[in-house]
Amino acid sequence: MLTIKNLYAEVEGVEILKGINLEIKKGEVHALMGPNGSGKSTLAKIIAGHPSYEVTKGEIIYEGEDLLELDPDERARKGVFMAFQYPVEIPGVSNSMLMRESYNEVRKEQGLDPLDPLEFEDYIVDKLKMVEMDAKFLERNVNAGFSGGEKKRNEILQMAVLNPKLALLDETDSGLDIDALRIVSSGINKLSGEDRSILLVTHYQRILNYITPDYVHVMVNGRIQKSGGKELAYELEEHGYEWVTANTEVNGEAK
Amino acid sequence: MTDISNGNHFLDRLVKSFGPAKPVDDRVEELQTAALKRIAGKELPTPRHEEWKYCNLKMLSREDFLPAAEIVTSALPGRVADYIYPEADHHHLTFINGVFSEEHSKTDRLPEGVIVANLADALRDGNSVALDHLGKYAEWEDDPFAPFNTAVFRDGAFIYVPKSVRIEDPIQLLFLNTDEEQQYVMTPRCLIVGDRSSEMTVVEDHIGLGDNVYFNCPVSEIKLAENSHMTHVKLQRDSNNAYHISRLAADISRDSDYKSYAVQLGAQLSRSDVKAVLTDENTHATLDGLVMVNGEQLSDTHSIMDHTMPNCTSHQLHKCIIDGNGTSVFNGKIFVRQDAQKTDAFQENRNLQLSNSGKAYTKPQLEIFADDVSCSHGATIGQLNPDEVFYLKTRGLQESQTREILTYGFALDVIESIPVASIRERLSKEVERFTKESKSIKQYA
Ligand SMILES: Nc1ncnc2c1ncn2[C@@H]1O[C@H](COP(=O)(O)OP(=O)(O)OP(=O)(O)O)[C@@H](O)[C@H]1O
Ligand SMILES: [Mg+2]
Repeated sequence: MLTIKNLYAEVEGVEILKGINLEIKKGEVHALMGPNGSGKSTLAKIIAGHPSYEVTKGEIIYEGEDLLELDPDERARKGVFMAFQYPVEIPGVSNSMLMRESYNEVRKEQGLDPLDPLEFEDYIVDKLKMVEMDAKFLERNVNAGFSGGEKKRNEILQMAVLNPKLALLDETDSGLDIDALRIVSSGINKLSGEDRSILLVTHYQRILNYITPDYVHVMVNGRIQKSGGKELAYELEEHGYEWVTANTEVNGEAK
Repeated sequence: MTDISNGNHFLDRLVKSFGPAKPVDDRVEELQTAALKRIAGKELPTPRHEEWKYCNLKMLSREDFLPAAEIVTSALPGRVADYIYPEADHHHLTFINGVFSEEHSKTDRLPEGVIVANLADALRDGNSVALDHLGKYAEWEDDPFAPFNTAVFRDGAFIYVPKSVRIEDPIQLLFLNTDEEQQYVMTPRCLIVGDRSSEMTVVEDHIGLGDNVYFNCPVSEIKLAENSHMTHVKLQRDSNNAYHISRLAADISRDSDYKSYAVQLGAQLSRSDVKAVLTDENTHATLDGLVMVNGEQLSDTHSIMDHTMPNCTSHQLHKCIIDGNGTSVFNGKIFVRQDAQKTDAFQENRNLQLSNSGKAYTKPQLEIFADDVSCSHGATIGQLNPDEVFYLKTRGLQESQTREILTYGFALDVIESIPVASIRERLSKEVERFTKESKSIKQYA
């Protein structure tokens, strides 16, 4: 599904990613953890195609295609989705209008006819249920005045609508209360499957009680310092990130 | 011989072309004579004048105009009714090139005592409310345009809502300006008086039907007595080659609430001076605006929010979208007089530049003489936020589509506060048309 090879990237002349290697296969869930400022969101944004970041070296292959050649909207139409750590508020644009337009773009890509507003209303009913959101959120402006938790839920609603192949979920769990966390996680679980892959950026092990990762990676200072199975998350919870920095070999050299 | 004084005879020339006014009433005559005196021999302001820094009237001063009433209108649209909002079906006045059209006006189904009429008729009939309030409020220092209107105006709207009467549906004032060979000038005058505890919504539409050059110089005066509520929507969609110079003054009494939403889309040069005076305690005023310029258009808004007494609030959200070589100017003065303790005033001017060649000038001016007040103001000039563009693109929307949506959204939050659905709808369509026609947005397609 996704192969990242020796990826270096910078923003405004500052190097942030310093040689990322990552392979996500179909159906896999990868958790990406690491201290603040280590580059997790940067990696997600680069995969999604944010123009502010410059890839200086390396490559990203998605379904056999050079992802870096594609615009963010093309990536989205080909099934790459990003749930933002800080979803943007867009006054004046209704949530349902945005989701319908996006979904129709994806349908167009798949050679399907667009849905009219009524058809879309039918389509979205189940998706709303999945994240237990009230239909009144559809008529509100995108994220405008939403609470932190509502914004995160709205991201997953959009994911449900677009039904992506590769979902990059950037701290979708932060700011959620226990109930919301359970709802959002079960939504994510329903949206995962054999053909779908997830990269889950998180600081907390608690979401991993609901979503079982196949791999856990720890990013420190722009590199993946350690990778392992889900037990790695528990160890991190216990020992903190210093434990990784202190106990790791980088490229075969003891640090 | 060249006329070195350039602008100085413009108003005299226009006034002369109107000929002497027919006497309607002594008080009106007095008012008109005084106004004439004020502008006689006066030059139009030049950019050297602080209030006209970015608004150059040189082109205007060189134009010739005939009084609109004197030209034969040839190009009336087939169905004037298409311009009437469904909610205003039973109460609207239509003016064609500033001249009242009885045929296209309707004022039935109004509560008893309500007057919606041609101002010229009301004055001729000696309506005492009209005579008492006319010319009382539209007053700006050094301003030649309000007196010009006063000196020569004939037709216009007079609205009076009596004590405790509440009109739910909007009253529409439709100013249709036709596409003519001859260049014309019109000076529509509106006087709106809300008595104690009255409530009304008035929508004022200025629509140019062609691309012709004309000069629209309207003045509106609004007087709200205690505890009255008024929503006032103005849509300026004059011809793209027209001049639109307007004056609006609202005098707001105790416990009253005046809300004005002005949308400026048309005219090559549009200048509006708006003023709200909060004359007593616990009054509220809103002066929101939306301006969209493209091509060579210039749109200049100068506002005065005058807090004179304690415990009043004011709200001003003024948004401008600048495309092409367009220019937007905003100068927002807020006065908080010595007695106006506990004033809460909000002002924000946001400018969205779609093109590199467009210009935006913004100047908030707060003059505060009371000590216990809360005034917030902000002004920004910028492009579409790249993070918002990125967010929408990650949802599969193309760049041009994304920019259309964000531009639309930028404009829409002004429109969303307007209480009448069909007005909101029409305005959203106007915004949509603007974004769809934007070359700066299209270049991303
Ligand atoms: N547009 C930008 N301009 C300048 N610096 C940036 C920009 N974007 C990211 N950075 C810097 O890059 C580094 C990595 O940021 P990033 O947001 O990827 O961290 P993160 O691992 O997601 O952190 P957190 O856990 O706090 O979300 C930080 O030092 C950040 O300040
Ligand atoms: Mg982050």
